[in-house]
Amino acid sequence: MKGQEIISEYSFRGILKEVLSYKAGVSALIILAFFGVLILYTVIAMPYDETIALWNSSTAFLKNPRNAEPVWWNIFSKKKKPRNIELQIEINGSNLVQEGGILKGEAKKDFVFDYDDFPTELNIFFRANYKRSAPLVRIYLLRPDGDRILLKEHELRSQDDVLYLSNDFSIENKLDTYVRSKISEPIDFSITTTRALFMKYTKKLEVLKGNYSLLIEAELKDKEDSLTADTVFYGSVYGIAGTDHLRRPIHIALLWGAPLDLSFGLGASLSITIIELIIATISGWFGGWTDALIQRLTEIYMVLPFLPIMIMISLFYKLSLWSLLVVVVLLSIFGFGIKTTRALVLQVKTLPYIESAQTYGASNWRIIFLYIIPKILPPVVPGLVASVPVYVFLEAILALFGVLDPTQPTWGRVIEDAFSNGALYKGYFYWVLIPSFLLILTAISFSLLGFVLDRIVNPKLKEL
Amino acid sequence: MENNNLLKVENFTISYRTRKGDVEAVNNVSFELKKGETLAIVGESGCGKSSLARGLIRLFPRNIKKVEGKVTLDGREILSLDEETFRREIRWQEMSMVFQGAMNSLNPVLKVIFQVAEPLMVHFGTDRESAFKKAKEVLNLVGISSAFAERYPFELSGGMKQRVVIAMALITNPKLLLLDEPTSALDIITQENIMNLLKMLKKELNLTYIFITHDIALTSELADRMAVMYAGEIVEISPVEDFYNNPSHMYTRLLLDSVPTLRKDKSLKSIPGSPPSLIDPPSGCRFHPRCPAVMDICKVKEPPFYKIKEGHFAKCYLNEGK
Amino acid sequence: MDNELLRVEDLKVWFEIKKGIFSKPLYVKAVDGVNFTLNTGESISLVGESGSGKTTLGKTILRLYKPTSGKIIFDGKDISDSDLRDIRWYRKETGLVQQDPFGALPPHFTIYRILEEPLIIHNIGNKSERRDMIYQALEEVRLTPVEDFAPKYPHMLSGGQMQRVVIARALIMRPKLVVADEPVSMLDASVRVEILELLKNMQDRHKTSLIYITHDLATVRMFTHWIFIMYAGEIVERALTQELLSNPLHPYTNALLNAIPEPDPENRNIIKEVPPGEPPDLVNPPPGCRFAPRCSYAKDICTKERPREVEIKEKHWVRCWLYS
Repeated sequence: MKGQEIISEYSFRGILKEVLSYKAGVSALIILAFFGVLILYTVIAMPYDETIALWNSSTAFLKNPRNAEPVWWNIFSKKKKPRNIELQIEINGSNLVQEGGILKGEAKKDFVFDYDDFPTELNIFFRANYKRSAPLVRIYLLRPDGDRILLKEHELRSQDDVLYLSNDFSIENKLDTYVRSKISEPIDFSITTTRALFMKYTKKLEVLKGNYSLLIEAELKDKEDSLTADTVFYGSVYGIAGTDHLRRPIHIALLWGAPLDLSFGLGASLSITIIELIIATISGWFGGWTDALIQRLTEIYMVLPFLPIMIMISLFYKLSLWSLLVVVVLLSIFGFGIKTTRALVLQVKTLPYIESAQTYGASNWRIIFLYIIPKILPPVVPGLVASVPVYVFLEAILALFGVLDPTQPTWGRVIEDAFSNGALYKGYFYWVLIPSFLLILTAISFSLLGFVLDRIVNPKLKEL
Repeated sequence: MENNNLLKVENFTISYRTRKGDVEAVNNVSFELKKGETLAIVGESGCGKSSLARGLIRLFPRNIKKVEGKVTLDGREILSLDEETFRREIRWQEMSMVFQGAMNSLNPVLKVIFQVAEPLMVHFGTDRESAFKKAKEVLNLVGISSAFAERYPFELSGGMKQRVVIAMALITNPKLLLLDEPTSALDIITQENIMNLLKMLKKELNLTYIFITHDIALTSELADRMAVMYAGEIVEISPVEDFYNNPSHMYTRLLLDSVPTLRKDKSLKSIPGSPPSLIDPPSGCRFHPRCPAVMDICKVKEPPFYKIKEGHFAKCYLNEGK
Repeated sequence: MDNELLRVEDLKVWFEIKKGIFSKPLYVKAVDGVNFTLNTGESISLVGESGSGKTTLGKTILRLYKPTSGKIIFDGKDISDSDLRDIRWYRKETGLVQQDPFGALPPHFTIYRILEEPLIIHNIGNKSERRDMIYQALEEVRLTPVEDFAPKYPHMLSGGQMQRVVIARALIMRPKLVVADEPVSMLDASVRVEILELLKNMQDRHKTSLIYITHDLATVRMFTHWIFIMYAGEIVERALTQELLSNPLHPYTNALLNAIPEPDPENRNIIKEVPPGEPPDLVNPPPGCRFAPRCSYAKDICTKERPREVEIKEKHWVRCWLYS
């Protein structure tokens, strides 16, 4: 041998080198690196417990639009869809003026509205501090064309009060009348609150772009009283993945779906493969009754209908991801892999070095774990890698069947939410397509990697 | 110059493409073979003898890169023929081959007689009945009775299976038979039986053999001429008597010294080192790294073929000046 | 040096073939009545063709198979019937060198680790003592420099080098008996001599007894002491090497010796006389002498009664009706 560096083909570096020599390998590793970065970011920036609490709270995302599209979704259309506009107006001692027996205050916030479509909702969240009586507020919108519209006059009902202005029928009727009178021609579209506030008073429905202001007048009793009004003009787009029916940013579930789903897939794949490996080796090595028993057990297992059993279980328990993992593993370990691995073991059993090991006194268990399993591990690895997406998809399917615990955000859950809320009927395609894309990306990357590993490992199989 | 050369090989070169580089499996091999002669090609594993044989019958692997040279069979140039013509007219008609380990490659689900008859049905379109009749004849010739002809391969012993394989190669009456280690998997007594068979066939059918083996002692059972291959080249070619009496290449001498004999008491010597890589063969004489008599020129310049006498050539500088 | 190391008495190794639940079991009588004694430091060349039972005999002596009947007495202790657990000590006293160097070494261990395994299993020495033993073993089989070879993996070695590792492994615990099953038949001609010489040197140096199994009679001259000729599960002739080669008695021995090709250019003109036919079916061997169907000297009694082993001269036994 020339003086070459001994890069053992069993070393990680050696295998990495070989994988990179295939185009498929490079692609697979790029995608996996992308996932790796994603997962790293997610785990660091959004701790699990916090995220779960957030995901399942009812109040965390009130300021998000409902079923908003991803910001880039209509990147090629000329229409610029509105994002959220949030304005905070404070009225307290600094801008209160005594007038008679009442303290009056007024504050204004300007904003620019230059989108091609109307806000979807308009809500105002009040937080007030008062000693004796609640403040009275009047809410005005100042339009670029000079119009000043009084939306509502309202006495706060409590320290934390919310005005759902866009859902308020009285406001809507009032505005409807007002706008129709302004237009004076018959119109063929319906008028909602947000439309009325932001439209041009023309026959064609069009947004009036320009500088707007929100003005709030308040009447307070005591000079220590104060109030803050968080006004949200809800957009129709939000974030990189939009929002769901509960206003939750979908990207949270997608981000956390990555580590959850991938660790589920990897965990299932690894555990099942390793356990199967050990069982198959024991079966193949000892032969006789042990072998017969294990093989019959395997055959019974293989006949069991996996999915129906899972659904049955779900009728009684809603499974968390981790208990699902355990169940899936338990239901799969006597699976098909045992038959193929056992065939490998039977071949390896006849190799001379096994006989030698017996000659110098190796015990049965030593032979199983130190001589047979390391030899049959390489041919098993590609299958292991390629079956990761199988289990990831399994999770998604089970989620669709409603088997899974709804509090854990996984890709499957997202798709399930989408389906049960009629996403495809309502046109919220992103809700289904984006998680599906991620699932497919996972499948592609692991399958490619498995394919490449298979090519690398197979020449060695010839030695068998 | 139409002498009775059945086969003339000139500058035959084969190389394969592999991930680590190009393997020069056969390098510039030339020899001639008369009708009825047996040429034995000896060499160790990796010397290229099997590649050479497969090259002659044009069975190349997928990673074949280069095939050069000229091969003339019975006056006809066969290396440049297109694949279809070669398949129809040469392969298994003018020349056949018995492959290494062929007896283990018999089709386990077909009866022996069918497998022997198949070349006839495929090549000549012979009808089944006549083909089977001829197959029985050939099987009888090689010593397989009609009863065994109707059996399956697993019912036959190793020696019998090898006879079947020989029958398969002979059924189309080829002129040239290539035998690649035909007895290496067989017991000594069975081996002798097969060698006896080959001797008998040689006489009765006037067959020309190229007999490839690593077993030097065995070659004397059939060979009229000997060729020694090393690292893809023929390093010495001679009549068989001269091979034993006057080996003229260092490798040949060392090879003869390493073969144990039962009757003669001799001290055995092994050859240090191992055969070179054919991807990056040594410069000059390919044997020089292992040669105890190496000279400076051996490392630098490829030795020419020295003519020792008529029909005896050796590619070794030790013959300079003789 | 007349210490009896191994005694085999009427050893039979029959393998059961299960035909079905209801039919009587059939047996392949691979070894059918073998007797011999071996003293410390002596070696046996066990010669026979495939199916003769030589490999089975060698492996049964190592207790890789369990004897069906008969006795194996090693160093005074009867190991024929014992449970494998009770004879763990036997593993230290014996070693095996196999035919196929390419399959004899676990591919995922380094050479160092391969040689360390037996020591680990039998808890021999501490880390540094083992290191010394392993390096010394590599030196003895001339795989030097040892630091270069120790961390390599088997697939990085040539066939000859691998076989040296196999030999080193077989001898690392200084066993009293080594069985070498066709140790060079898969190696190139030029390498065979080296390996056989190595075996011989190791044998001389450590006074190890060697059972050298081969079908290549030409190589037996390297190992002196005994030759045993096996046919169809029996030892048909056994004697000291020189004696057997100069005075072969059994017709099968003669046939074997005749069949060996010697490098003589005249051979191609001679059709050799070879016994016709094939070795017998070991499930139903012929009654009487097993070689009789092929033997040109067969008499009537040969087909009826099995010949007994007879010590025709001192230290020369034959199992043939021609001599008893």
